[in-house]
Amino acid sequence: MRRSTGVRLVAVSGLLALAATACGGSSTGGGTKTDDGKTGSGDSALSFSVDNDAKGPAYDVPGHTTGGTVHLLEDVDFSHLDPARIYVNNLQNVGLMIHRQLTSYIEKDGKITLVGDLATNTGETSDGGKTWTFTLRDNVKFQDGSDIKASDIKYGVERGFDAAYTEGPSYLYEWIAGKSGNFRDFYEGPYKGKSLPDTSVKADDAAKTITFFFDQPRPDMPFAGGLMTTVPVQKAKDTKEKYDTNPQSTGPYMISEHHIDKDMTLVKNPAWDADSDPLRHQYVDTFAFEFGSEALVLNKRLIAANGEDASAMSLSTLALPEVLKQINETPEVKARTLVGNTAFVLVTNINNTRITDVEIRKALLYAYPTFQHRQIAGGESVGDFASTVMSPTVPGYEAFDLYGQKDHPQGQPEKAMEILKAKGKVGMQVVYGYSNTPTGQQVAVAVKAGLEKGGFKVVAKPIDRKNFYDVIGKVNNTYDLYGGGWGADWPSGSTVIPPTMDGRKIADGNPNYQHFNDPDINKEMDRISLETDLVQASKDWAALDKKIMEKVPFIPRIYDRATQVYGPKVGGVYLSKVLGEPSMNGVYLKK
Amino acid sequence: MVSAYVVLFFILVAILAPLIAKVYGKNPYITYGQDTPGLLDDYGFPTGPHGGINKYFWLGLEPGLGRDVFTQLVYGARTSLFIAGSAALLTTTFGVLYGIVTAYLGGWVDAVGGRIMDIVYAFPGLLFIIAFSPVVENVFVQPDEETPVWLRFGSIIFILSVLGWVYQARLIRGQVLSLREREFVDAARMSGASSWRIVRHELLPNLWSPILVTFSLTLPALITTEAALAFLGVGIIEPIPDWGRMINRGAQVYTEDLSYMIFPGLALFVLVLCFNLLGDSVRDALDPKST
Repeated sequence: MRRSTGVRLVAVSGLLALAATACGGSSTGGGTKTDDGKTGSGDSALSFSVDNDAKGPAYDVPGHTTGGTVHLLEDVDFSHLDPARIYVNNLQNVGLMIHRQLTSYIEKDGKITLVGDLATNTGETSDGGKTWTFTLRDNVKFQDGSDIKASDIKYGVERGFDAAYTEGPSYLYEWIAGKSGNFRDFYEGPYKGKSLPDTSVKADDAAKTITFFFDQPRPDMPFAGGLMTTVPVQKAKDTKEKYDTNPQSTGPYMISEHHIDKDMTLVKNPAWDADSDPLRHQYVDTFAFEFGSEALVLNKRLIAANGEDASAMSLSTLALPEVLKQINETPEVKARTLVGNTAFVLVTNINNTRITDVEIRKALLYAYPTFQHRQIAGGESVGDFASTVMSPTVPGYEAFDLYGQKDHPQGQPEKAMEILKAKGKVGMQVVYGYSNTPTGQQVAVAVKAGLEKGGFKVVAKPIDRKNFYDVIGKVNNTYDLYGGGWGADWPSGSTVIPPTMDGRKIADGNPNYQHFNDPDINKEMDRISLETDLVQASKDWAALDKKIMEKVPFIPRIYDRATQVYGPKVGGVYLSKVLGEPSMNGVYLKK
Repeated sequence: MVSAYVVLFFILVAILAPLIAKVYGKNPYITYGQDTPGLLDDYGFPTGPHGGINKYFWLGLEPGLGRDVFTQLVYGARTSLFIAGSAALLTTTFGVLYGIVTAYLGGWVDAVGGRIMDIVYAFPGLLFIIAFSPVVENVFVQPDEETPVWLRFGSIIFILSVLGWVYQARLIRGQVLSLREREFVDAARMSGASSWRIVRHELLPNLWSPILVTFSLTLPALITTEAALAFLGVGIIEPIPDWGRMINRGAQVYTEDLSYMIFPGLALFVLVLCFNLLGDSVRDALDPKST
């Protein structure tokens, strides 16, 4: 999923950032293997576990109070609130307060635990992961007071098949359809009158169970259940496209007002029962969102913390380079700043359809001025230099560096020049598309200077910030280089490499923005995806990562780090490892 | 009188920019701060006091990209004066011609011409420019080529002129309307002079002073408009040095690096002030009766 703003760097695209390095055990029941072998690389390893007995209410945040209003300052409105269309991390963040999924994560003291959310546990399987059954908890309700039934979850899943809802993660739909390619050929969504057959998804309202049947073992189902694709939707209250701005709540908060692009207010949902929810809190009375100011203005307001801004925070407005120095050198501000690695890897995509020669792509990578780019974006606070497809937070990550990117972050233009000379392509023209923000414009100057030292001729083209991903997401776009980024959906290479590198899925808007397509690598992906030994799988993903980097699909730049300021009156804020941004869950007002 | 010297100084600086940069030994496009470690700190701000002012970088370095501020200012003067000067010349020329033609011919020409002026006058200029500039780029620029510098300059000058000529035209029209009823014009007409001759020899000599006065007051107004456009991000874009864009950038970083806002701000302020003072004194000299 992409980060919601195009403000920092060039916007980040990626998925729910779940940073966890230990291989989580994946199931309860019989079949799948539970393994806590550590395969991650040393210092970034995070503890990760599964708890199948978690019950509500959620643990008490020490020192919390109740009541009051927390203000949330966002530069843009949420693009989607319909659970079938939620994928971007800030949407998942607010989504967690108004929606409930089958499974979810408890984050406490930096530890991440996968637990049953609407379901009593993280799923049960008896045949090695082909069939998954979830049992609903008691006393789970929609905001209108009616009970959540298993068939509401099934209906929520069905909606995602509709051709109008393309934004959500497609794992579950693809697994149900049982083949790679277009799952919409399998089922066209509930609006045409048909329901998913009971042989695929079976909802038993009396027994309160929902069962998924797959044709292959899907050991990752407990994680996929944590995405918003499993949020229940009442058929009678499905307002279709209007559901996107004002959905029915199942979580602790509900939308009382939403003026698009202006403001939104969340108030307590009286139908929500704390005893049924092992992870969510309901401390403050109101979350008041304010949309539409510029990110730098919001940064400065959070730093100044005047009046109501003292009880303000932001989900997706990261600290911009202009204020990083002030933040780090003012102890009072630094004390209320969150800094942490996220699971995102920021990259500069190379359009593989336009630049088909691996050697030329290599030359671009050699010439790219990563250091200069990072300095304009804010220096070391932005993250560490990257050289892989997967982030260090993904299990199995291997710290290889095929092209010496970490030793030469300033670029190696002489190597690029050599390649271009050998190919007789010195002065070759490449088109660099960038998000037209002040930072983007400056980065473009540095990128142009760097690549031209390596023998390229660079045409820098600004792209309107709001439409950046629509423009570069077109398969026939006219750019050779454009920024992006990706983070894992859950701790597995299977949520990094297949979504971004599967050449068979190239389509408008598909996250394979660089149009990388290699038959051998596609085949290897299919093989590893079905591997039930998760430790072996994580090693295989890392090995595949290396194979992919040999073909230089894009230029890895930065292992992302987030810095964000919040108001001095806000308590209980932490940088969520799952979301890669400050979580709203457990936030309270200090007395 | 001082203002005239200052204006002259700025014009000279603009004309001689490449020479100054050569003597000074730097140019406005090289990212010194990025190429030489130690000039910028880890956050991209210049090391050393006042935005990195030292004997090598007289006015310091730009935060982030690390370009030289002094040469940026010098070249920025070129951008400002060239755009404002060209637009002022175009608006004045066209405005004067338009004013004379409509007023002298009168009748339906004046009626239609007057309405056109009203329409253009009613246009929300700034909004129009903001909406217009991306359109120009889409129409004239191929997707695989960069917006050429001349097109950027050309479109800004064009738009400023299209929206700016009405002021001059109205003024001149008013003047011509009163002049053409005067005895000496009648006398010329009686003696069989052609319209062209009357315009050139009877009207224009009497119009020179208002023309000069409006020209000298239009110029500084256009300089600020151009800077405002760049400030809003629809004017001259990177990497061409521009004061408006420098001020915009300065406004983002002023808490850490005030110098970067002060120098372009000061330059713009002094230049516009002196142009205005000069315009006032031109008016005092040529047109003592008007207030």
